[in-house]
Amino acid sequence: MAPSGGIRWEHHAAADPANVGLMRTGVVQFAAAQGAGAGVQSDLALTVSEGLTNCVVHAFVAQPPGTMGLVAVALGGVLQISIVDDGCGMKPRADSPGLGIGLGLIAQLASSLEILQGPGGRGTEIRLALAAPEMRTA
Amino acid sequence: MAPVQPDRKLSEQLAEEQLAVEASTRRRTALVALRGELDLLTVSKVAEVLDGIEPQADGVRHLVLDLRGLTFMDSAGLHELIRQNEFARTNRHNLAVVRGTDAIDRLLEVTGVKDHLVLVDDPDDLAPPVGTDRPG
Repeated sequence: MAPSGGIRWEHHAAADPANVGLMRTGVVQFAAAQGAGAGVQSDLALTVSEGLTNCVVHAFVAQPPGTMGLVAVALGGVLQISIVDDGCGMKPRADSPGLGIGLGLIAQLASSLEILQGPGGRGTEIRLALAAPEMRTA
Repeated sequence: MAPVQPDRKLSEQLAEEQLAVEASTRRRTALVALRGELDLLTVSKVAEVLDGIEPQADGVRHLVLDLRGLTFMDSAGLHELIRQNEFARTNRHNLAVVRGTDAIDRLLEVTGVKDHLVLVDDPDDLAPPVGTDRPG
């Protein structure tokens, strides 16, 4: 379930490499508008990029690409992030263009991380939080 | 209903806007400078240019990859750095990486990739300077 309450931003798009950067840019702009500092913006860009890349690379193995979604909620000095897809779950692939360290990187940067079954029992949801004490939200 | 996939031309256009790759060669040194965002969409542009240089014993021997113009890099970029570093080792040419922003430096640090690369602050830090031959 996506985070609720606070000030919310969300975007859903086809699980395609072209949308990773667009969604990353969108959520960072949202965080900046809430007063998140440069360090938080940088960690947000990286965690979101890794999460969305996981959707593109691992969620639709041997099936047509589906949808990925990104929800950000600014609440009480914390950015709550949810990255969802409607794929088959994150499956390993031998031709992965990454290092296999995406989730490890997210775990290092986030103050919390959960990996869950996606909404309606389909796909995967990555839920993470980033501390952003400088944000204006109550 | 299946989501609408971005058209290939649009994807290529986005990749062009997101990352510029500038390569120049002088004598036995190739300098490749990146400007913009290096991720899953754009990493193939970098790979294509770097692979196209084809360092060899009687040609380019030194490859300098300049990250100073990057505003973002994720593990897709790291993967390419490691791939190029491994190729340099097996192909016996030199690869140096010019440090990028603090965020990119931190990424190299936390992943341990920094320990495997020859990192410099400026291409001019290389001895001999870029654009000149290195003995041997």
